[in-house]
Amino acid sequence: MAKALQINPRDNVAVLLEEIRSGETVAVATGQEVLHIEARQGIAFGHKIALANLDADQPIIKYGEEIGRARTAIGAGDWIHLHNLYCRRGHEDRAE
Amino acid sequence: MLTFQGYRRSQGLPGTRNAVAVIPSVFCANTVARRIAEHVASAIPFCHPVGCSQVGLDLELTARGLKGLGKHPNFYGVVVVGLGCERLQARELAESIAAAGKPVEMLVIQEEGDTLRAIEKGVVFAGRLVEEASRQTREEFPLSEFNLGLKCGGTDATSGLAANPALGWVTDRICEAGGRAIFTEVTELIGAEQILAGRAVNPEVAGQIMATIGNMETRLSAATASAQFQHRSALISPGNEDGGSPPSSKRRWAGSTRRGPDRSAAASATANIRKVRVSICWTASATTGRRLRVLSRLAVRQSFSRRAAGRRPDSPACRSSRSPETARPMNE
Repeated sequence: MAKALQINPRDNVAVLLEEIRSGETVAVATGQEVLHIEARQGIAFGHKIALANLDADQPIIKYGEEIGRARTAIGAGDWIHLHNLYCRRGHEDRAE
Repeated sequence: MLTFQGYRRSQGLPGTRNAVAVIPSVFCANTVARRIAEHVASAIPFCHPVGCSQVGLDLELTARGLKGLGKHPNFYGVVVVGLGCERLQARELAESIAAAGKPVEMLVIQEEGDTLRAIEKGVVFAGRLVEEASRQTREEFPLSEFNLGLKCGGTDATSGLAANPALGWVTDRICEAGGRAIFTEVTELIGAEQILAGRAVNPEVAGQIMATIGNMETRLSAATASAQFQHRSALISPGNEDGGSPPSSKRRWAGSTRRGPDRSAAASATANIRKVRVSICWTASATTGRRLRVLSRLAVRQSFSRRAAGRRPDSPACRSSRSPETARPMNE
């Protein structure tokens, strides 16, 4: 059974439907086929896992929309959260 | 044809519930209103912190909000409770609700002489209305008579996965059938304004959506500009972040270019947005009780053919044939 969900076909992240351990292979439901991706860290339920390698400053897409950008290079299977995702908006006075 | 089981009202839209509201015209009557409702099953008290020491638009918004609440289709009838000396008089509130064809009872604490007598009278009033309401049965109505109110009830990690997409889907079905939906919480829409404006029925409404959300952003920005308040500047709660909500900073009120869709059922729908209105809405939650809040409301209504063909606003086909009292936002 899938442990993660890609909400929109454009998304480069999936949402974890249960907590997973580092190194675990995660089945990702996409609406079409099921992807398998190895988690590079333990990731909590409800959090995001990268589905592809992302360069720094590349848009992170969820719900088919940009939710922010990669703070650093991100590998497929990485946990995506505040440590590696940034957004300029609301932070215009602050160097990222 | 899609239908729902509702309660017929003498004017306006049918209700999906048949409760009795106990509405204080002023906060000084809150305790009496609450005590009345405690004694009568399916009587609901709507306590609030306003109704006096107010002037101008502030008082007017309070009056409109309370009148609009009393006219809500989900109430069979209303008990209005006043103190007597307040700015917003119970009589004004009661007469306005009664004019919408709803059974209304009014009592004024100072006229009753004391709190206990006021409660006693209110319990009799509310009990009588509940008894009348209990004799009414549900009838079948077309979905075009349905007005769905959407209100965040506390986001958790599954909201964006299940509840919001599901409610977005329901919103679309209701709007396709000629009904409508209303959603609120402009702070939650920051970052999603382009998505929502893209669904406006015409450029004017698109502009209103951008302006409404932009004004909220400006207000929040001003409220957190001072270094003194930097520790009070995060809009996204720690719990939301722990649950995997999109990025934010503890330092600033808005963290994401696109955080609306994660939390908003409205953004999950595809129905067109027809109106933007600023008004007072009631928010209800099991834990915090009911509160009055000034919010902008966006009315969503589908008009499929016009979406494709350059977004013309209203047409007779999608215009409401309902009574103005309930078909229009309550501040009009």
